[in-house]
Formats: sequence, structure tokens, C-alpha cells
Amino acid sequence: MDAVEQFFTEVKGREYEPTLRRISGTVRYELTNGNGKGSPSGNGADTWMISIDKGDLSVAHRTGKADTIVRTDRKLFERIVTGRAAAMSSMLRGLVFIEGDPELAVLSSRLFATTGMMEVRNG
Amino acid sequence: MADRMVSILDGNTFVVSDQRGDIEASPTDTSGLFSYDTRFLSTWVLTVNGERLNTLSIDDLNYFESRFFLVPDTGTVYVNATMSVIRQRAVGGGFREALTVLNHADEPVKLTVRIDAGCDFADLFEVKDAAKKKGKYYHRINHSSLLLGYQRETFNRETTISSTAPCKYDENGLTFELRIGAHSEWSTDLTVATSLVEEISRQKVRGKADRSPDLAANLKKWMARTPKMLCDVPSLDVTYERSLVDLAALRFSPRIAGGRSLPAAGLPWFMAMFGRDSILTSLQALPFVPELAETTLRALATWQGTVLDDFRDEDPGRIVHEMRYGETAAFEEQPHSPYYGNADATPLFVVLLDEYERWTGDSKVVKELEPEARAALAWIDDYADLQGNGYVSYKRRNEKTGLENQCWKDSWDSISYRDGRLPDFPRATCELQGYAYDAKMRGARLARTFWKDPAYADELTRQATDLKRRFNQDFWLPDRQAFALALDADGSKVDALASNMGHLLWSGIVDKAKAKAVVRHLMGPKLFTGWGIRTLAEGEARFNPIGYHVGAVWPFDNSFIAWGMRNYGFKVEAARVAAGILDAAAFFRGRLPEAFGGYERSYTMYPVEYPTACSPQAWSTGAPLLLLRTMLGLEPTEDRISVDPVLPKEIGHLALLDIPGRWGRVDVYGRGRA
Repeated sequence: MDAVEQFFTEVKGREYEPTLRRISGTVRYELTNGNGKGSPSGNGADTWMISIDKGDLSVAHRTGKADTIVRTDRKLFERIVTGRAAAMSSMLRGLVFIEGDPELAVLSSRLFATTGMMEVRNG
Repeated sequence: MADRMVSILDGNTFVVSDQRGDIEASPTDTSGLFSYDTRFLSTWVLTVNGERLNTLSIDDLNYFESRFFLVPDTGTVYVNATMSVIRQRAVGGGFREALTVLNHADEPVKLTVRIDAGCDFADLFEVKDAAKKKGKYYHRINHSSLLLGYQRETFNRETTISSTAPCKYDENGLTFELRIGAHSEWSTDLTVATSLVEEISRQKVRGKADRSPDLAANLKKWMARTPKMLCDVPSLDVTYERSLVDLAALRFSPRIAGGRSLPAAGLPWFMAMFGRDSILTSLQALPFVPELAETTLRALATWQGTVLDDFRDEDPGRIVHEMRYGETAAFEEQPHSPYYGNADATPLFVVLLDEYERWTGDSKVVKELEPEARAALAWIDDYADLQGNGYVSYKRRNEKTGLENQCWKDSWDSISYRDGRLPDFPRATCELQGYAYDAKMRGARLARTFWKDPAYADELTRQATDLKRRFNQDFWLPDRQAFALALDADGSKVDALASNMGHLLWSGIVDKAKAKAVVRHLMGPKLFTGWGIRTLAEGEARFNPIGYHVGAVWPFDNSFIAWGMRNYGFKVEAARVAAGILDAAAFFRGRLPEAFGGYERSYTMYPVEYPTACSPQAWSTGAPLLLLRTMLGLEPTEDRISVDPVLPKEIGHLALLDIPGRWGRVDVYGRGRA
């Protein structure tokens, strides 16, 4: 299991995240292999869904309707969830593409810290 | 130079040009079209038949639009120009410019109108030090537009220029070959569009925007919603109206805020989310525009720190210091993505949350933001007590680009001993302890009333009481009968007299028995100039009346100090401070600068402006509002507002109508006696 799978597995195991209890919505992560600009939805990307319902979490390894889409290179995503890269600077550089609700995108990134895969960030 | 420039803005998009409407930025010059902390246009120069134009007049129509009336140079005042040019420019997703050329002659005229355009795509943080760009420039021309672009790896920013009237585009601008009939005119609409966020993401926002895209209608609505003031002093009317309009201009909508706005720190260079500035301005404006506080709270909560990150000086629970979107943030040459290096915004976040509920009765926000408020309170004990001595202190972990001074007085020499020595880091400045105390007390109220956690409330109260007891011993200078400005890294008391003491009154951490001595210092000749309270007292080694944090008077600082004096019952002293600052405002036509000189009032007769690049500054704009609240003695008391006016005599009658709050809207009246 690589860090990406480990991240989604950890989130699935958490079931509830109190710091997300003020938000509901679904984030679709489209993880591509290549230049990081992403490919059209579902086209060759490894797609994961995290649904948040007032802090209750569910995870699915498939595609579907979402309020926020986060599209990035799989290797970069691995670096983000393990704290070796930062999401916001990556977005400003054009390496992470966000579609839909930006607040949900920021709040759901709290999950990166709460999985325990990143206690510190060095990047 | 700077004050002859013309600026218009909307949120973090702004245009700074000369009086002709031209932009000719050099790498170190700060004119241009800026958006999201990037310069999207650095050259924009209009010529007619190869000649530059002269300015007849400028209409500053609003903060977001201006109109330039121009004529060709005839070489002498005895020859009338037979042509004039009007440029009307409005900000919005870049800017739009309606360009009109009028031929006043009795015969047709043939003209070549040219606009030179170019862009260096400088990051706001590069502008002042002229850093060499690491990426490549490109352009694309087609029949309907000129596109200027910049690419560094995957980082891409573009500006697209287009005209409704036909023209010839080349890589350096647009050319119009015109024939205008006798007594006729020609016009075109130019659009300069910027791309950044749209390029990297397509975002839909939650909720309902508080601002319509029609900026003029929006400003009118804003003014109609705020309380009306009636008073006998015309200059106070001017100051009040100026503050409200400037506060409207300072509104900034972070992308996560669903189109709602919070106060940015200052215009134009600080049109960004700043934890400290957004919180303090929201506090000042609470009785007038409470919705700013709600957006500030939600946006700062969303961006609250989650991990330890040395580069960003981030800790779990810590509230943002500053957020930027430029190239230096993108490539981590600057830490603003976002940067967390401040020691005060986190406790102040809890203070604002509580004060917001006390005014508005909006318990929903207090309940929703419970996790963030708890995390902020936990930060005080778990991450801010760097010395393990029970006090909040600061020391940056990012030693290259982080901020050394993480309190509001953030210049290098602001915290000193009487003899001028600078303390080491970590530094525990006194006002930070006051904020921590206030946060715990207010957190206890929230826990008891809204979070249904009386045990946590008791614990917070116990911690606050203990902090207050220790603070009044450990920071007290018995010889000076004053509080130390800070504790040094070795625990020594940093003994200079400074305005920070006044914030302690606002936070309520001062023992009643010591309050009188504190007020005596603040109102004494070493600190009080007659206009306001100096940042550092006369007689201290580093005192300088035009020193930024070592002698100048800051209106925002004074507004919080006056509020603190009120809370301790020093109503007349609070009114004197308010009167001094509001008198000073009259000299600045109602727009208080960030700071002005700490000269004795009788010495200069007028307040000497401190030269800064940034005006209006949000918390200076908010100062008259908080001073009004303070003078009228407005306090939310359960479901009603209590009023206890103590006004300076010169103010005469003062009425504030339709003050919004949990009581609906109420009118209050006061008469000057103090």
C-alpha cells in the first residue's frame, strides 16, 4: 500500500472528524500520472471520493458527483499528504487544480494533518 | 510622488497610475495594475500623434473608478487645444477604460492614437527590490486582442487587452488610425483582463455574496445600512462618513468566503487577509457593520493552522498572519501561503468571537466555530508558551523569511529597555498576556453558555485567574509603578514605558488597584501628547517622535486604550483620548493615517503625518468608530444595549441612529460634558 492508499484508508478508518463538523460535501480527488495538469474527469485518473456529512466521513475508490474536485499528479499528492509539499503553494504554481467549492477544498485538507501521516510539514 | 498618483481598487485588484492615467512602472516603481499580489500591467501609456497629453482635471468618482480629462500640449496657455481626451477607468476583473477623443475644431482631423502596453508580472514583494524574474515572457496577437504572458515552470499568469473599436495590435500595444469629423467624437472601450485563479481552478462559492458586481449600487447600499450619525461638529460628520466609505473600499473577499467580505489591512499594498488587522478592525466596526466580523471569523477559522510547519511558522490552532497569492508565495520564496507568524491573532480570534455574539446574538457562529475556538485556546498553552513559564512569547522558526517581531509593533526596535537595549527572543510582550487572559475569560463564557461544557469553562476561568495573579506580580515594576513592556528571554523585565500598557486595560488583566497608576502614565506628559498616546514614552532611550513604533501616535492603538480606560471607569480620560484623536482626524479630512508624529500638541499645533505607503489603513479607519462606541459608553448587556455617554464638551450633541445588534436597531443620544 503506497502513501496515497494509506491516506484514504486512514480517513476511512476515522469515520468522524470533529474539526469538519460544520461542513458537508463531497470532494473528488483525481490523481493523474504525468504533468500534474490533470486529465478530464475519470479519464485515466485514479479517482477517490471523500464525503463529509457534518464531520462524518466516508471514502470510496471510484468516481461520482462532487462539490469540489481536486486534480493533481499522484506523486505530488503523495508528497502533500505526507507533509513534503504544501497544497496552497502547489495550487498557486498550477500543480493542483481545484474546481467547485474552495472552502470545502481548504477544510478537507485538514484531513492531511489528522491522519497522523504528517505531524510536521517540511515543504 | 506617491500622493500624486491615482489609485482605484476593488478587493485585491487595483490600479495605480499617474495623473494622466498613464502607467510607466520601472522594476522598483509601484504603479501598475495589480491583482492577487501580481502586477498584470506595468506599461499603459497613451499618446496622440506621438505626443503625451496634459491633465486638465481628474475626477475621483469613487474608490473603484476615476476619470481623467486630458488635452494635447499646445506649448502656451494662449493657444486653446482643439481636442480633448477623456479616459474613464473602473476596476473589475482587471480594468475597463472608456477612451473618448473629442474634436472641437470646425474641420475633421486625422489622428494616430496609440496605447503602449507591457507587463513585467512582478510579484508585489519583488517590486521594491527589483528582483530579476526567473521565468519567460511571451505574447500572442490576434485580430481582437493582445495577450501578454509569463511562464515559470507550471506557474502562468496572463493579461489580455482588447478594444471594441478596430485597432492594430502589436506586441507593444494598440494603434488606432482615426478620422474624426468636425465637432465630433470617437470612443472605444478597452478591457484589460487578468487571469490567475480562473486559470488554475474553476470555483463556485457557497452562500450568498454580500456585494453585487455593480460597485456603485453596492456602495450606496452599504452606506444606507450603517447607522446614521447626527452631531454639532461638522468635522466629526466628515470623519464618520470618510471612515464608512474607506471601510467599504477596504473590503476584501477571500475565495473561501462565498463572496462575503472582511476588512483587509490597508490600501493598496495590504489588500489581503491579515489575522491581526482583520480581527482588530472587525472589533472596531462591530457596532456599525457586524457582518465584517462574521466573515473574518469564518475565513480565519477555515485557514486555522493544522500542523507544525517551520517555514510558515504554523502550529495547530494558530490563526493566520498573512495570505498572499504571488509568485514568491507559489515558489516558497516567501512564506505567505499562508504565513502564521504572529502571537496575537489566535487569542484575539476568541475575543472577537465572543464580542461578536455579545453584540449580535448570533449563537450559530459560536457553536459552529467551537472546534476552532477550542484549538485557538489550546494553542495558547500548547504552542505559545515557548519558555514554559506560563506566558505567551514569540520566536520565529523561519529564520530566513519569517517575521522577527510577532506582535503589532513589528519593527526591529519597537521593544526595548529604558536604556535602549533590545531583549532577546523568545519575547513575551505584555499585551499578549492580556489577550490570552481575555481569550480565556471569554472562552469560559462561550463554553458555559453555548458549548455546554461547564468543566471546561471552570478550567479556563481558573487558568485566567491564575494568569492574572502571576502577571500582576511578574510584569509589575514597583519602582516605576508600571507594567513591564515585556519579559526578556532570560526572564528580566523590559522596563521601557510604552502604550502596550493601555491594551492591558482593554483586556481586563490589570488589578483594579494598579489601574490608576497605569492611566496616570498613559495620560501623563511622557506618553500623552494632547493628540493621543505615544507608542513609546518621551525620555526612553529609543524615543523618537517620528519613530514608527518608538514615539509616533497610532490612532488604532489609542482607540483600544480608550476602550480599556472606559472598562476600568476612567471615562473622562477615555473621552480626552477620543477628543484628541478625533481632532487630529479633522486635520486629515477625516482619514486618519496609520500613525502621526508624537510631538507635543502645543508644539506643532497640527498632527504631523508619518510618511507611509499605505492609506487608508484599516484599523485607522476603524479607530473613529471604536472611539464613538467608547464615548457613548455602548455595551451589550444581555438583550439590550446599555448607554453611558461621556463626551468631550466640544462635541455638543451626538446621536447615533439605528445601531444594529441583538436588540434589533436602536438610537442613542449623548451630550458633551467632559
